[in-house]
Amino acid sequence: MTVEQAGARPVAGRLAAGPTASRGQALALRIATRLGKAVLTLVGVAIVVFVVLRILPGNQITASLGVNAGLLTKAQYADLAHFYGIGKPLPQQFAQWAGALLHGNMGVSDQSGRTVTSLIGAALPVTLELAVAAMLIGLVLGVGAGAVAAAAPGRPADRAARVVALAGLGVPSFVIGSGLVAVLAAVFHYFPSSEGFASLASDPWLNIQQIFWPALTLGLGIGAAILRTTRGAMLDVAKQGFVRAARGRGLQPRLVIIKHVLRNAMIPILTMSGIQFGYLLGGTVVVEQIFVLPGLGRLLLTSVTGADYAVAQGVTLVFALGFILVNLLTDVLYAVVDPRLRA
Amino acid sequence: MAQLAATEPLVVTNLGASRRSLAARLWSQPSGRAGLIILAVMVLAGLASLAGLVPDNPDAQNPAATLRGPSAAHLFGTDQYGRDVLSRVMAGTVLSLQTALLAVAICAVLGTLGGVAAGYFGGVISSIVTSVADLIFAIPSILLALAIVSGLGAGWQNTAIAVGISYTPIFIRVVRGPVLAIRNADYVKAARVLGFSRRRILLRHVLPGVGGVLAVQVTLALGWAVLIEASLDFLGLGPPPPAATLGLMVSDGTNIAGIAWWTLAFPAIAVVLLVLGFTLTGDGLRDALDPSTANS
Repeated sequence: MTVEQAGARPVAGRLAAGPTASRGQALALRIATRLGKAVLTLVGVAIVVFVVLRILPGNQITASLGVNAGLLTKAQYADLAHFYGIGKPLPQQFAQWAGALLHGNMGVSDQSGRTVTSLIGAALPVTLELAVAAMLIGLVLGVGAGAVAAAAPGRPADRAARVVALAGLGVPSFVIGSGLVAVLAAVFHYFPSSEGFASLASDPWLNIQQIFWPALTLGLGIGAAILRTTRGAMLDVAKQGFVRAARGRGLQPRLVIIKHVLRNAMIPILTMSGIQFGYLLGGTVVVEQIFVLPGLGRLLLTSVTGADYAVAQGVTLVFALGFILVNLLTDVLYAVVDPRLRA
Repeated sequence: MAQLAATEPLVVTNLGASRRSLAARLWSQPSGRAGLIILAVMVLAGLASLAGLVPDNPDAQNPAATLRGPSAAHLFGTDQYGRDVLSRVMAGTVLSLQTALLAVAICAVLGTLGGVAAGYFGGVISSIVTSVADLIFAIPSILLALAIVSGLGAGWQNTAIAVGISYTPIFIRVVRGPVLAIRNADYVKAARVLGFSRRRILLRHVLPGVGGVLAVQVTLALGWAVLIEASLDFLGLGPPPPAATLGLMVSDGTNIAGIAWWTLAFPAIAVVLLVLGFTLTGDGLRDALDPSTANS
């Protein structure tokens, strides 16, 4: 690796003036291509979500009237269909929805009568906080324990880390969450409730108490996956010549682990973190349900089961957008972590 | 890609060399052996339940014996309706296993077809298949499953369809890579020169080459399917209440765990064992197929 880089340097130096400009252009082009693809995927998701929700049996009329919808006369039904905007052909409905969406109008919830943007606006900070906290817990646990395990393969610490990682992968978040809720109730008489959820701004201490347990629930699973990846990637890197050379030069073992091994193992760790974030978004549905957090996951569950289409569409789009953005971010971070990928 | 080209033929020769030694290698690994033992226990429990070899009818209520702790009469205790928890856990294991098997059958078939088509034919087919895969991938799997289940209605078959569709992109990705490498392998070129039909090349030359990757992915997917299926049941999107699903049992057990821990603990342990069994076996299988990743 080092030999290769040493060999490449003079070439880069000789062409210094030209390549920097074209290299910047190449990076810009790469980001532009990725952005274009991301937008296309988002449009695709919007179409799929729209169509899937329309194929589902039941509509806003049956959702609001239940079995009584059968008592409506044809004229009444047509009136209501017009009111909900579901009488027109699907492409026209989609154009209307997409057009409004571009103006930031996601429609109105049939259940609560509030606008979808206001519902999402209220729920998004909760889920965002939960996701970031869970990701932080997962990264600290995973990279930390993974590095400790990889530093001494086969030792007791490594064996313990591997067992814990397997347990973290095998135990679903709803089982961890249920177990935590049961223990919290039995030991601390703490029962999660949707009443009195405190935002980070209004009551930070209460908010941290409310977010910590669900974040831990999600973070353990993420941490387990990141731990396994970190350990595997670091062991792969540790076999390479430049690590042995660094040790041979008498560098401190801890420095070798952090600056040589861990840094070069960052790419697979980043990839796994991106994948885990995708699972995390799905996981919020389960965990917000268990811990009764008023976030996007709960909003999605109630809207899907209640045939509240406008809300379900909006929330799914926000989730997909989050997933796509994180993938983009992961791609950009590759270049930050590994200078070889900047070309 | 260079890496793939280098490792995949290895997988091919390993699988082709001797099947018995593969089983032996799987058994000789701690994770593979642990996984196989766990799975054997769970499958036996499921088969016993199917054969009617259960302590009690899983749906039989007994108001006189509600929420009894574990005892000789009820090894895992009874729930709030006096139903035998052991019998219900065994029945739930069957439901979980059959849902996972159907789900993985769906995604393995769809994903292999898509992956082989994208990898072998390339061009327009490849871009269509991969963009559909990217699209499904961008919708978090549990959300996709949620929408499908709430649309098709509750029932284990619908859960399986939902889980199967959401896992298909992963199979497409996993299969496409090796197929890309195999397409240009000498033996496939030779088969083409010999004038073999496209069907024969795909079935007899390309498909066996991805066998190892597929075997690993199927095993891991089974564990994942159990996990998602149980999560959906837990959220109340699986078969409705009288059904003995592990997810529903965990959900019910959470509310009464303070007075009856066994109603939460035993179904939860069953889910964990199922997921762990498949994950461990999949890990072991991967190491057994590819010696270069052993001990990692």
